[in-house]
Amino acid sequence: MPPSSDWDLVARAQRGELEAFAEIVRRYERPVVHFCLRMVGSEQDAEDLAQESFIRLHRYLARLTPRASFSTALFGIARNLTLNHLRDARRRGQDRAQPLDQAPLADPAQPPPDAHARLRETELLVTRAIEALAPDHREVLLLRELQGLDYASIAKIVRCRRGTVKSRIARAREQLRLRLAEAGVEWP
Amino acid sequence: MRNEQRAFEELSAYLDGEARRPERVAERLAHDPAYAREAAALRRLSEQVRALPAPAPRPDFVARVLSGAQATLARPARIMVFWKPALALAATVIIVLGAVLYARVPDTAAPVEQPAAAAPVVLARWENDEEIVDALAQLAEAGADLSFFEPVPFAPEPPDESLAATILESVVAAAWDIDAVSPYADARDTEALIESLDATDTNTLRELMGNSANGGRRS
Repeated sequence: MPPSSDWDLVARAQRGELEAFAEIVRRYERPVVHFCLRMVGSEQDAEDLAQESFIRLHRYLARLTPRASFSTALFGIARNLTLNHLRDARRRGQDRAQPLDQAPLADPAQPPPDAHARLRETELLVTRAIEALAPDHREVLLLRELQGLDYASIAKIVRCRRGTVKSRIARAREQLRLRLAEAGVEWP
Repeated sequence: MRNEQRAFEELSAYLDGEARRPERVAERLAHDPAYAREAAALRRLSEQVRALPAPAPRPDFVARVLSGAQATLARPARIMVFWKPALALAATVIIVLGAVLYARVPDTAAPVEQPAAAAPVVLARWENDEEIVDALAQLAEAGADLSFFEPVPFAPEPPDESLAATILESVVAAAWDIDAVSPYADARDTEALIESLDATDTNTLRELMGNSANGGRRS
């Protein structure tokens, strides 16, 4: 039997089928936690924010109508929560973004790292470079790269024009590339 | 925007399948080795971002969500009395700027102070957040002064965020939290919406704008 579509599950959840809602959560838990993690930088906070996103989605179920991509609604909620979280963290002086030069780089005195270690090092540098982006650039980049959403969907989520999404993604990539190049990541 | 910057933006969009004129980008890629190298670097960058490992949520994640969802359902409605006016307003929706609407308001109504900035008219139904989003984004990009509108239940003090974003979040958040049906749900577009504005909504708008112009807060 083919898997139910997201909107089929939503319709069943709207009729009170908790198992249908649980299926939605299982389907999206990992992408939402991943998005939250890359936005806020802490696994614990990311999971809490993802959990709250689904709880709010459940609360809003009655108002969901299948006129747009389901993920637009879900990531819209997650995006709002992560931005609020970042705002609160900034007020408390707990902004996690670190300058890229604080990320551990390879020590030239050490033997060259093996392929696995190089991969881990690149992952860390990419992570740090993403964290160093402004939130409005970070969110569009993540929604594009991690979720594969098109510009129109991203525009709905972040509430701006499609053209703004386009320029923010380009700027995010430009900054990411510059920062990684400064940190010594090799390009083709 | 500089040509170089525009070319980079187009290239970035092209790689996402979103370029305005993909044939132009493709043509340049075929003849400009530096541009092609840039494309290769951007592709590699995307691969590296996409390759970031996604953490696995804890095994009890789904159970915790379901428990939280049910607990939320068990709580009484959380609309506070303080917000009733704001929510009632959101139910009818009205984000209107500028003189065009005023031109449509009957002259017999009491005069009110207008906000300093004149801007395009924009209406949006709370029920359709996409319209609100688009309308406010356009206004913000046009440099419109949106300061007369201050329902803001969930975004009390974000001075470092754009005002439009704050307003938008508030409107949509309010919309999420109320059960109401916009009388304009069937309006096909902004013009139709303007034509269908009734006296009650016009007065609500006047009150809102008057409060703002006087520096007062609704309560």
